[in-house]
Amino acid sequence: MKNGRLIRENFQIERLMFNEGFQIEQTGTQIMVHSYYDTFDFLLYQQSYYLYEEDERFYLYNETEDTVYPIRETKKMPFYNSGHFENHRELLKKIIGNRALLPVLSLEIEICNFIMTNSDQKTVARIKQVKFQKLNEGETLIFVEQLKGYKKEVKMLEEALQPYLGGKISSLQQHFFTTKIAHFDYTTRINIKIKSRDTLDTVVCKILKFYLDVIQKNIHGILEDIDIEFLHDFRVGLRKTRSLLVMLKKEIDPWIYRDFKQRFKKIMQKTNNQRDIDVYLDEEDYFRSLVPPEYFEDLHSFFLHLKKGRKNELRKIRRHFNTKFFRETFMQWNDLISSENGPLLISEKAKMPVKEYASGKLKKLIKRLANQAQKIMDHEIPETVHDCRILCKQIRYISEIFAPLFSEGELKYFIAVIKKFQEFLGAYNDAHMQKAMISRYQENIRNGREGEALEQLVPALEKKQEDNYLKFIQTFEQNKGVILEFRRLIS
Amino acid sequence: MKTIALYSIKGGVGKTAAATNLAYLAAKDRYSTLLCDLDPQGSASYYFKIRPNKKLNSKKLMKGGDKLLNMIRATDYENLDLLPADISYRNLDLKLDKEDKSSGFLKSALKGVKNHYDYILIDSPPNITLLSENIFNSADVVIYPFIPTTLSKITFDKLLALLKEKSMKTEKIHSFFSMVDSRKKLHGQIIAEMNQSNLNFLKTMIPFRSDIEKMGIYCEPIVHTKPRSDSAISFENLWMEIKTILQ
Repeated sequence: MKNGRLIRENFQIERLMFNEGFQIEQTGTQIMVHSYYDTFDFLLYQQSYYLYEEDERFYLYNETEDTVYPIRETKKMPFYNSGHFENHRELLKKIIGNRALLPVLSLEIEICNFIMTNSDQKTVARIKQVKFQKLNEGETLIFVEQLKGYKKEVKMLEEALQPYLGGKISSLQQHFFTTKIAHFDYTTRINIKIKSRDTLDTVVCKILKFYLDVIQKNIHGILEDIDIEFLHDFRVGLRKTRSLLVMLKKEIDPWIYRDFKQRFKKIMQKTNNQRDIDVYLDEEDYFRSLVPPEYFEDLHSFFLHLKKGRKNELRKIRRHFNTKFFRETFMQWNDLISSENGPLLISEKAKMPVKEYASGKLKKLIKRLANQAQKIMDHEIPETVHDCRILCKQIRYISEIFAPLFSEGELKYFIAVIKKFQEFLGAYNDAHMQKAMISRYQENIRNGREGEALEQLVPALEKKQEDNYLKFIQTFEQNKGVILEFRRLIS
Repeated sequence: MKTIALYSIKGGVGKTAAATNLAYLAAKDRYSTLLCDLDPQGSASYYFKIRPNKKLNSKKLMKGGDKLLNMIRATDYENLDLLPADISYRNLDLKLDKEDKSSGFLKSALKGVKNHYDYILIDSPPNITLLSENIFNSADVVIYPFIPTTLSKITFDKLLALLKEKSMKTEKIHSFFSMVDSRKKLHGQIIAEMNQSNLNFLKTMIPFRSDIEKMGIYCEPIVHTKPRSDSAISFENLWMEIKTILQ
């Protein structure tokens, strides 16, 4: 009975009678409190993992394997994420990404331990009667652990218990279920069915509505500052909306196009600084690894400065999200994309099959990318690299949005290539921005050692920039054919 | 996986007491441990209150693999399992001889078991037979309890001579002084003499104590029942030394 069974009210296991000298005796009672942590959308629970704290120590329980792994903390924080643990960090990161772990449930658990012994007083089975504070009164779970070599004896015990047992249950699942878990997908992974013959206006409105929903769902997490993923998903939702808007430029009323493009740009800009700082702070360990240990302290004040700056930026975001401009932008946008007659698209192309339209747009964008990449290969100018990165994002978003319209194999490979470009160009751009942030900060510092510590970072960032520039050029040269072939295929 | 054999030609020298306590300490260190009671007297099995499965016999032991694995029983302690002794082991030598088994049968019998454990400890029967050769061959280290008396010295010399004759590695043998009575002058003399020899003698000595003998009454290792007694501390030190040798 690995996962435990419910047992009848007031059941006293010691009173079970056996032949052949078997007996059950109590060996002890423990009372403990387990505080469970999970992401707000229960990502661990969905993978059958439970992270709990007992006596200020953390444990990760895998229900499928029925195994508990002790995990060590590296630092104390009000909110935890995978980075705050010394071991099993990779596993946690894989499941929860950058999501914060929040306290979701606290249970007082009373465990009565028993052993079943044979006539030689040898233990043949261990029994646990577990009572959870939150279970309905009188309900207890019973767990039986068979000891190697005593299968027959445990079978006899289970038969004796049978008349008193209730249904099979996983206690933790029961509790998490009653915690009213509602799983929402807050990311921009699109899940809308699109067919080639659907008209452009219907599809576009559905997709824009989906992104608006994602944007709005993430606002609460940004304001509460639960973790950095809320802002990231909010921005991706906004950027994908803008990408579609740009794609549909000629099909939309010019006034609406200009107005909303500007509004979205303004909202995006208000969140730029915080996102840049988030990326910096997320790589704190990496930056520390770049300087000799004697500079750790000095680097520390730089990161403190960033954290302080982040607080200011968050304050600005909160103020901005509370403005009439912000509220009305999304209200009006919602009206525009919700109208059944689709006043958003006014050109005659609104009724054209979506596949035809999307293919044409993608073809143009791919051609632009080829030209832009050539420019970068001729001269490494950070602004051009930035433009190329934005173009890659746009191509990737549009490919992903309209993915169901194209052959899966070809598109998958194409998207993977574009993603690689984006990754290298993104790392290049991050390093560029981080260098700029350091030089801005250096202008105001008085401590010479802190300046020296930051100086140590600059060559590493320059190298990162150069490496990613070279990687991009190399990958582009290698995959030029793939891109052009995809362009030919979608014609 | 490492195999540690507790071996002596003589009986009543503290082999089983050492095997039982060392196995418990290995398990307490969170190593998955198996104690093989190969002595048909079954004292180690008795210390853990374990009777063998009715199907267990020397034939099963010789076959090894899954069949042997099914005969293993958990002790009352976490990480510690036991392969119980069976009276049929008394004929093991005859069987080995009759079936023309080589001196490597035990090594191959334990093959199917070794993946499940970090340490296997063997409590050997007190004799010098084909089974003893098997134990020597399968063990990474042979721990030899040595009561500091003249007769023990003579027996030990005979054993070393025999092993050399059979071209077996005597370096595997690490002895410790067992049942040491500090009041006896002879014990002191023999210990000094043996320590000056170039033989492997461990530093830890296990004292002669009645609480070790009482293990038979409580049926529990002394390191569990009286962890602060000097007997228990001596066994702990012995375990530390053996661990160092194996590293």
